[in-house]
Amino acid sequence: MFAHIYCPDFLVQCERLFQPELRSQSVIIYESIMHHGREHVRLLACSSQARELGFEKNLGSEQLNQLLEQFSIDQNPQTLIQLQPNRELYADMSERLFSAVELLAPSVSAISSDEACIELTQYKHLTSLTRNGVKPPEEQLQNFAIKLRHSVKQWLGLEIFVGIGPTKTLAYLACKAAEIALDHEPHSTNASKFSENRGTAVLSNSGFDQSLLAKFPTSRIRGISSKALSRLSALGIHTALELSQASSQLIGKRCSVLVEHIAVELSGLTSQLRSERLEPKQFNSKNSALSIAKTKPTNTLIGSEIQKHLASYAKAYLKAQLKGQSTSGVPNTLKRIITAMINNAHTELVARQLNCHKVEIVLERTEFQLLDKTFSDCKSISLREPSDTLGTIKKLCQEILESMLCCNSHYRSISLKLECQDHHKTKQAGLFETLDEFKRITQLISKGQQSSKSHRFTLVQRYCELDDLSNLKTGPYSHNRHPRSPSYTSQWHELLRVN
Amino acid sequence: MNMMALGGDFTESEQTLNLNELCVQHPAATYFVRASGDSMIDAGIHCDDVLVVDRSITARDGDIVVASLDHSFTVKKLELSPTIRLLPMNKADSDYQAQEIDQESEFDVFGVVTFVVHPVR
Repeated sequence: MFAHIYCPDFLVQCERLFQPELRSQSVIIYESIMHHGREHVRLLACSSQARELGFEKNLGSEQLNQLLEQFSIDQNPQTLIQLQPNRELYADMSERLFSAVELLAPSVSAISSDEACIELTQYKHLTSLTRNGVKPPEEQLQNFAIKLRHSVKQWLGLEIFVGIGPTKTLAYLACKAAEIALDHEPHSTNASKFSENRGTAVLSNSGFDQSLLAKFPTSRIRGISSKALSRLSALGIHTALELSQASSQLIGKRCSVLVEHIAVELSGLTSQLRSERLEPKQFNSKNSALSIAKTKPTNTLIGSEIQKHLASYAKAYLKAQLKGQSTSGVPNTLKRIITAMINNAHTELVARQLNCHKVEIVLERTEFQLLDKTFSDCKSISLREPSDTLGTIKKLCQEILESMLCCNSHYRSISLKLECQDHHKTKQAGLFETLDEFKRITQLISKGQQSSKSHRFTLVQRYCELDDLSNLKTGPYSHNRHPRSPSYTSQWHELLRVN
Repeated sequence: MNMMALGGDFTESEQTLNLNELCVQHPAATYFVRASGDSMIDAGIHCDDVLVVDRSITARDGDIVVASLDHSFTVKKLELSPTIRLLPMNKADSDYQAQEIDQESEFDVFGVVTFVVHPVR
């Protein structure tokens, strides 16, 4: 069994938690981005009341601009609350959400910041039942869903919807059904009668109510592209029920493996995606020949080709191993570079009369082998007080670097970013600036390691000068910049105050 | 060699006392807020103290809670019977009065205060 949880209007709910005055208001959260000299507005979230005013998540920038003008502050001060995103808050609440859910059911896989899928076989109260092949009774599942919803509400103050079903797709559908049911619930006085099961829905394995599937249009099922939708409608499939009853092989042929997977899951069976579809396809017509060019070559590999690929991979692997021998002592080299970078950044800081308030280091590295895909680690520390002292910055950088370095890794590039406060003006000069001295160091290093071409250090030094909030009002954005949720912060001195 | 090994052992401390472990029982449900004013001075809550608020605890009669009352946050002692009231704890100042919670007021308990962090100098 699987459970699907979803937190509707997550961003708005987070804002309302720390600003109770927003609870019955229309709230929108949007951001402005400068792109090619033009300002684009993007709506990140809106409350249900704002949706009634015409706001929608996928509105274009121009439509949104028009709507915002209608509800501008001067005309309708109380109608619409416009907020800037506070990503710190959302990230924190999302982490809290998942860790609160994990206490009840350990096997949680996050889908997005406000959505997760839980495998219930690991749930301690249900394990004994599922292990013996007996499905847990519906009542027990319903109780679990209620408990989950209740504890998230108490711990975090967030409303979530919980759907439980025998497959992931059915759990998702159940979750959506719970959301729809709550939307259509009459606001009557005997609402308490329904309050126990509110926001939860369980589709048990033993013949669930198929009328739910019949009401669910295919367009609302996640994972079905618009192309697949039109193909499905050509086959006369418009609802989830019709999709579940259709032959999955036919769906697989006409649409895609993914839609076939959804169809199988809808019928209540767990399907292993792509498991039995790895055999090479037979293509006859011209159209198929076109589509074979589009698909990845790995789908059509046969024995000899696989061997060829393996051989080339082994060659590359050996090469990397040889190169790896010359890269011992990299951390020391890195430390030398970072020291040089700090020294230069400091000279720059002093020259510009700036104070650094945050240090960030980004390390691009590969795990185990040089030719592996690279990924970047990023870590930052805020200074207690803005400072331009060389010793402080150096100590912080070394602290960050020490915690980031790990054995068996090959480092490709390092970047140091010092965030500074400049009270006079906003500028981003010197971004990605490589100073002469660094060029010299790079040359030295590349001379020392001429044997390994792929292993080189790109020295990127970034200066990012942030202006303070008072400057933002006169910034390039035409829209009013509303303060982001002031009650939530990660700074001690900005904590929410209570009387 | 033995000396070296002994020295090595001393540097590897297995566990140090962590204040978070003491004050934060449920990290996912714990929030920090800062007190302002002296309405709760008898409960040891002074102005500018940091309060550790745990949302996972169900508030009982007599608990000190952070609650939102008519769109603003407040820290008070919760009284559940005979009626729901928020009581200030400052005998010296009679300006602070108990606040009755009736059906019309928008009242919500944010969480229960479990610890007070108070600097002494």
